[in-house]
Amino acid sequence: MVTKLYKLKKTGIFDYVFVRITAVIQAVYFSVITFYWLVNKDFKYEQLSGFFDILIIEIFTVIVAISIAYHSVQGIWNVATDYLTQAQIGASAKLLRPAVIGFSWLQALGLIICSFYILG
Amino acid sequence: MNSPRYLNLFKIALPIPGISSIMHRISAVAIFVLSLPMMWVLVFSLSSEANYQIIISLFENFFLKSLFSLFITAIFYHFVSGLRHLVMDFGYWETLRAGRMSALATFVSSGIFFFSFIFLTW
Repeated sequence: MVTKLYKLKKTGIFDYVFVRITAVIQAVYFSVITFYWLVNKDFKYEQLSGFFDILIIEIFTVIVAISIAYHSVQGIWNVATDYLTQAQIGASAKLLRPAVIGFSWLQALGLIICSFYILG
Repeated sequence: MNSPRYLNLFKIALPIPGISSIMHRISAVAIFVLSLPMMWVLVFSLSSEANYQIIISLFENFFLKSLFSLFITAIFYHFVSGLRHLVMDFGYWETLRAGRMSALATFVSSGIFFFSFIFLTW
């Protein structure tokens, strides 16, 4: 188990811990949503908009969007640097890897922007 | 670099925990690709009741509904598999037996989830 959180830079331990923290935040969020969906047998627009009118849920949604953004940027970086390498797919990796990582940053930004539409 | 390298994933016979691990990544990529479109669907359906009805009628389409069910199952699988990885990060379930059992449990629970989701939504 990792305990040396104080070595923030260089080791990637901050990333390691923060990926898991953001994962737990998302786990709680989606558990709450699933529970709400299950207890509302007759799910209509009123239930959906009523749920996302609750201020705590709106703030929670923004936090979760930021969590997903961080988690996915880290995750896609992991996957891209594992498989989109010159050893694995040849010279096209040189172009493809930065493209995929760049796309993950764009999509993460888009998610955060979308979450503010739910807030506002 | 002197170590033998044979990293063709399609030719390596993975053990069950390995399959669970690679499925975690595959589901991650699937969720990632669909996350922004699904977020847009949520924002659009929240904007007004008419737009909500448009989305509802759109997802009545068999192909889209199947795709959405698979997407939700992918999220559930990533959730359960992630919890398993989290437990192992804390030092539990690290024996071969526990690893195999918990990997099998992620598949079985995802299967159960998929069929109960189909049962509840269709």
